[in-house]
Amino acid sequence: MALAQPTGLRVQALEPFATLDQSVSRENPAQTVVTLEQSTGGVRPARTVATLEQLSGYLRKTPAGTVATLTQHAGNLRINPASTVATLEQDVLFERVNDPLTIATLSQRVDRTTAARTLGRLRQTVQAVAGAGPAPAALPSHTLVFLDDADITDQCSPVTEIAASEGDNRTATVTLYPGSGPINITSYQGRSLDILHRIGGNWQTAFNGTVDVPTYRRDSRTLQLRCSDLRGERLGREDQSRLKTLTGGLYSNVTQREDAEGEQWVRELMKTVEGSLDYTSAGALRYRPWAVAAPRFTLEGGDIHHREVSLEFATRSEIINRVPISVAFRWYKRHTFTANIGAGVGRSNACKQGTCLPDPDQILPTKEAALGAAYNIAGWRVLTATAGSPPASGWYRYGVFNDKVLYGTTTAFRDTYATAINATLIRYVSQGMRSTSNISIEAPQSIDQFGAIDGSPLSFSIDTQVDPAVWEETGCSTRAEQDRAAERATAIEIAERMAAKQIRGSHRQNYASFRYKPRTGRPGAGELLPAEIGDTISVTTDEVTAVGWVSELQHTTTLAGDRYTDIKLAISRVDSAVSVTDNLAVPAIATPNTINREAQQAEARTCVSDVEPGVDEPRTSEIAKDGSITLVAPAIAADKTDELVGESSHSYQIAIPVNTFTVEVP
Amino acid sequence: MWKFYTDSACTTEFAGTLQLVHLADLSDNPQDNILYYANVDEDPGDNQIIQQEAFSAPGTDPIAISIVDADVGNGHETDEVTLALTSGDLGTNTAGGSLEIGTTLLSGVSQAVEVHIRVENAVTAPSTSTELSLQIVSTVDSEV
Repeated sequence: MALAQPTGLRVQALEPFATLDQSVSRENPAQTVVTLEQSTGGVRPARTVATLEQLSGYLRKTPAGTVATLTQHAGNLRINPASTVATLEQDVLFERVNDPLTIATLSQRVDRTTAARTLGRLRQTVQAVAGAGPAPAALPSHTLVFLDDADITDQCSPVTEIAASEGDNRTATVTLYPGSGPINITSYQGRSLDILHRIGGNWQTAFNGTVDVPTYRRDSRTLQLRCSDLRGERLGREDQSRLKTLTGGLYSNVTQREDAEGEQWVRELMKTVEGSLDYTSAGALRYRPWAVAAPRFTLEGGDIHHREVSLEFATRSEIINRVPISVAFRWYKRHTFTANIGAGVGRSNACKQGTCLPDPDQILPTKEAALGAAYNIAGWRVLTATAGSPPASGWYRYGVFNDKVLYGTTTAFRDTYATAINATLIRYVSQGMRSTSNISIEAPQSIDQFGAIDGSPLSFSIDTQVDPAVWEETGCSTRAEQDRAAERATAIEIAERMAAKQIRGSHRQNYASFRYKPRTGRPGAGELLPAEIGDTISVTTDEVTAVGWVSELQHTTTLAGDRYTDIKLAISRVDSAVSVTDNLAVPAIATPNTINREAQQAEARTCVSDVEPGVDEPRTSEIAKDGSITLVAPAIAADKTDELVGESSHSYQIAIPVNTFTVEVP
Repeated sequence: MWKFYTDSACTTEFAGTLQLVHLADLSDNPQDNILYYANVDEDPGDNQIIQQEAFSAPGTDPIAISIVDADVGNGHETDEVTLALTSGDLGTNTAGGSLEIGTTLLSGVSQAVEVHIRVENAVTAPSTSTELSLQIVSTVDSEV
């Protein structure tokens, strides 16, 4: 349904109907503006404790007026002229303050004096020549034999042997023809024996040693003298610092035989050196590293006896190309812990200015007992301890609206008894730390050729020499925590050297053996090769080309007048295209961060005083109603007390030298 | 320590006995040898860290090496031996005379002192003798 549109609408204007006059006034009657309510836990209801009232005051207007009159009177003035009123006499006494100073420094130098001494001697042998006297009978003039500096050449068989090998005594065998009559065989023992050979026109000492074993052969009625250069014995007498300097070797009680002396010490030292320490033919000490140097002798086919060449190659079972090393390092980490502990008696609500009386049923402990409780906390030391005194005499009020009560006490009472104990404690803990460095020394070239072949593991342990109890008992120490860190570094260096020597040594067990016996007409024909252990020799024949290190040699002279030298060359080999650079290093000490669960655990770390064994340990410090005191020191975390262990793994590489060693099938 | 070496690189220590073999007809005279006096053990880096001087008057008196005959009048005599610092001096130095090798010697292989020894045998009877020796005066070693 639709609505009809309205009609007849009229518009009427708005006109004022009425005017309202409004004024606003506020009357402030006297009233309560603040009500303070005090609540005392329900005992007393909220109430008005004070009423502030506002009062209308009045102003008093005071007209300006004279409040004071100043009266000035002229008096007598006396003018005093400027004059000296005092004279200061200052005497400057001579005084000079001298700071402590060094007035003289003693410069002390210790020099080494050496008395006049013999540097060397000349052993002069005059040989007869044809027509000038009796010619040497039994020996060709290529060899001379001296026994205690006496020339016994004409009493000796031309058959002699001199043998030397790396790291072993040099030996010689001489056969003596004793004359008829009694002979004291044992008197030959210990006598010096020298053998000289003429090589290249010069006489060279081929052996310098001592008769070791004299043997009488009844069948030939000869005296065989087996001699030795006593290498081991002599090395044992050498100055150790000199051997260290000469070889660059290292020795440590940690890695080598402890307290080794003499020859044994030298053997231990040489475990860290890739080389050989020997005495030369003339008896001089000499060190030669394994590394092949420029050849001292270059030999060709004509210098080598064609039937006396043999080759020997290392077998796989002799190869080592990886050696694991484990070095454990132990020390004690020093911790200092402090704690503030305290306990007090229960308090009543009778207080005065914040000080409240103890509960009425509280038995107060003595101050001595309170302090004793602090001092008896096991493992902790007391830095400061204070026993609180009972409140002083005075009026104490049980609440605001209650009457005051008089509390009386005496000084003696307050001095004797305690209401609280507060102490600052300190504890020193030596925490065991063990860091293990696992090192693998590897020869990648060899691993590439043979696969990994492990040698015997090397394992060492270095324990601190610090007594942990000293720190825990006194908080004092005189040594560094890691007091043997330097020894650890040395031990690792030594272990790595030992491993490297094992690995490289196993790769130089390839040998080329040959007999130096030049053909007639060639230089050196009929002579020995004056080689020494450790010399580098290059050999080239139709079949073999080798450059190696003399590891064995033997000089031989025969009854037939032959003279030759058998040489055995050690040749380092590995066949691999892998490129390797030595990178041996001493790894840093790994930080221990794991609790060693296998080690004995530290004892309980919550220390409680005044608790009998078997009583449950309370958790908090308190003074009980009966006056007994229990003080509890805070617990120290296990990772601060139990042994922590840490490990790190490292791999270092060494290169295997590759010496020339080729064989050509003719 | 200061000692003789047989090579200029001072790698082979002199064993203490200089072996000489002469022919009785003196046809092999003279025989020349060289030894090297040095201290390389204590100065392997060749840094001249130690010096040696004569104890009698350090820095003033020279260090002298002399020839000593243990059996004067018999066998070999000191005048069979001539010492020199160079091979050229062997021909001019006085036979049997001592050799002054310096007032202050320094350690290290580069400071090795060459001692040339010429021996002219005068003994014609076949024999072996160790009566001659080389002796050095008292010395004092100090850090440089």
